[in-house]
Amino acid sequence: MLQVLFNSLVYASMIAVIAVGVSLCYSILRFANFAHIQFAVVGGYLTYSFAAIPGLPLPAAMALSAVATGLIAVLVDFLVFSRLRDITPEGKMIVSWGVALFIRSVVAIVYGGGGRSFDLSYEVVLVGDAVFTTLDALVVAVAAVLMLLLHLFLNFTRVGSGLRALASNADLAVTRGIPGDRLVRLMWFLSGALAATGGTLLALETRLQPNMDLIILLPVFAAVTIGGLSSVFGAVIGALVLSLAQNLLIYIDFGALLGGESWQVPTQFRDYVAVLALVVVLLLRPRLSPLVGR
Amino acid sequence: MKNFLSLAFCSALALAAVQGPALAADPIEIGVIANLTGSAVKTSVQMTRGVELAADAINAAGGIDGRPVKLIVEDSENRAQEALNAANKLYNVDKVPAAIMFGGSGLMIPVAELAKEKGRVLVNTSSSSPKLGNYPGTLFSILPLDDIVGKELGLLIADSGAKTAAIVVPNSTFGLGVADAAAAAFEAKGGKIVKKVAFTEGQPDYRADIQPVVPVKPDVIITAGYGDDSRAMLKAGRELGLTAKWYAAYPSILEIENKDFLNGKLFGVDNGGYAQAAGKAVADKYGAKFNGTADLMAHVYYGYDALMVIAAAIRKAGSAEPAAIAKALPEVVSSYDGATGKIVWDARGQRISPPIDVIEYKAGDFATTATRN
Repeated sequence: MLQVLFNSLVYASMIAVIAVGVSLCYSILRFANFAHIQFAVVGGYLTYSFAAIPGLPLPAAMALSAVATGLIAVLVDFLVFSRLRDITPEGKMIVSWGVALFIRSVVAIVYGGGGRSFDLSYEVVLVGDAVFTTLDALVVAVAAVLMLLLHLFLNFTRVGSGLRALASNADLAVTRGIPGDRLVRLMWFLSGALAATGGTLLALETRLQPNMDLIILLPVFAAVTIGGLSSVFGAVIGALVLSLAQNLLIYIDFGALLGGESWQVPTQFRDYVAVLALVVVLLLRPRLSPLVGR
Repeated sequence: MKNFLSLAFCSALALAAVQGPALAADPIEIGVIANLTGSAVKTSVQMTRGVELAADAINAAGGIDGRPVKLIVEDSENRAQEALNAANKLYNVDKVPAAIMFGGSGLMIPVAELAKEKGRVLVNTSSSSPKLGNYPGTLFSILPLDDIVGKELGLLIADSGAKTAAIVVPNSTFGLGVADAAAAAFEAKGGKIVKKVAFTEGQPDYRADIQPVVPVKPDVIITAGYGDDSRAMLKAGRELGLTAKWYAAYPSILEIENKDFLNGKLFGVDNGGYAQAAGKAVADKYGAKFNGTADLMAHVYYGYDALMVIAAAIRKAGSAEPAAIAKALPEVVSSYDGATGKIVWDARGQRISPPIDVIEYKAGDFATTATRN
C-alpha cells in the first residue's frame, strides 16, 4: 500500500503542476484552455533541447524552458485570445483546440515522430517492499515548492491579490485601477511556465513522445474538474485524489480478493478512472464555484 | 551528310545486334513490399538492399535461364492498408508471380490472405508470428517464427539453472508468441513462471505494469520488444530495482536504456548463421555497393536469401508461374546454404531448426557466446 502512496504522489505532482495553469486561465478568462496541454509538451521538448547545450545543467535548462514557454503562452494570447476576449467561453474553448493542434503540428515538424529520453542517473531507494527513486523524490519536491510559491504569490503579494481580484470580478477590479491586460499577460506567462515545468517533470520520469499531449490531457482536465475548474488549490487536491484512485485501481489484486487466481486491472485502464471522475463530478456539481479570490 | 547517316544507321544496327540477346530475354519481375516512408524505415531499407544485392548477383551470372531479374519495389508505409495496396498493384497490375515482404504480422497476414486468394507466392523476411504458418503453399518464411525462437529462449533459461521466471512482454502477437513458447519450454524442463505481465504498448511509462514482478523475486525475466517501448520497459525495471537477469528473444533489437544496468545481466537468443562464408560474401558485396558495412543489419541477409531461393525455385521449375514456384521452393531450399545459414522448412514452409546465436550483453555491447543448432 505504501507503494500506491509513492506512485500516487509522484504522478499527482506532475499532473498538478500542469493543472494549476488550466485553473488560473479558467478563473480569470473563464474558458477551458486545451492549448495549455501543448505548453507542457513544448516545455518538455525545449528542456530537452536546452539540456543538449554543452555545459548547461538540467535545472538551468528547465528554467530557460519555463521562461521560453511562458513567453510563447503570452504570444499565443497576443496573437489569438486577446482578440477574442468578448466571444463566448465555448467559442474560446474551440479556438483553443485549434491552437493546440497548430502547436502539436509545429512540435511534430521540429522534433519528428520518434521518442526521446533524458539520460539521467539516479538511485533506487527501498522502503520495506516499496520502491522509489531519487528522481521521484526530486519531482515531488520541485512540485511542492512550486505549489507553495504559487500559493504565497497569489495570497501574499500585491500582484497576486490583483490576479485574485480579476478572477473574482474582472470589471470591478479594472474599474478600481487594477491593470487588467498586464495581469492577464502575467497569468499567461505563469501558466505557460508552470506547464513547461510540469511537462519537463513528466518527460524526466517517462519520455518525450509526440502523443504526450493526449496522454496528459485526460488526467489534467479530470484533476481540475474534480478540484473545481477555477480553483488553483482545488487542482492540486484533484490531482492527488485522481492519482490515488488510478493507482489503487491497478494495484488491487481483484482476482485474489474474489478467491481466484491473481488478476489486476491492466494499467491502460487507469485513464478510465479519469473519465469516470469527470462524469461523476459533472453530474453532481453542475455549478462550479471559483475559490480563487474568495 | 549521306555518309554520316549511313554510318549512324549501321552503328545502330550493330549495337542492336550486340544487345540483341539481352533485350530479347523477357525479365522476370519480382515484387518487393517494404516500409520505405513510415516509421522505423531503416530495417526495411536494409532488407531491400539485401534483395538488390541478390538481384545483382543473379543478373551478373546471366540471370535465371538467361532472363534477368527485375525488382518492382512498393512502399507499405508500415500500414496494413498501404501494404495491401502495394500487394494489389504487384499481383494485379504488374502480375508478379512472387513478392518479398518486410513488415510486422499486422501487415504480413493481410497480404498473405491476398496472395492466397490470388494464388501467388509471398516470402516473409521479417515477421515471426506463429499465425503465419496458416498459409502453406503461399507464404514461405526466411525468418524463423516466434515459437521456434521462444522455445530456444526457454531452453537457454532452463540450461542457465534458473528455477523461476517472470514474463514481461508487450501485449502483442510478437510479445505473447515469444512468451508462451519460452514459458512452455522452460516449464517442460521443470521451471516455474511466477508472474506474467503483458503491457499495452505506447504508454510513456511501465513502472506500474512491472511493479507486480518485484515481490515475487524471480530468478530471471523473460522479455521481448523493440524501439521506444523496450527502452521504457527496461527503464521501469531499473527504477524498480529489479536484480534478476533478463532473457530476451532477439536481444539486439531492444533499445538499451542504461548500459550499467544491463551489463552482464541481459542474455538471449537471436537468429544466427551470418558468420559463415555465404553471409560474409554478402557482407562484402554490401560494403562494395553501399560504401562500407558500418550500417549493415541482419535484415540484409534475409532479403538476400529470399530472392535467391525464389530464383532457385524458378530455375528448378523451369517456369516463373506462381504454382510452379510454390511447388519448387521447398525442394530447392533443402539444398540451399544461404547467407542466413542452412534453411530448413516444415511442411508449412516455415523455418525450423535455424542457426541460433546465444547472445550476452557485456561491456556495453552484444556478444555472441555460443551457437545452437
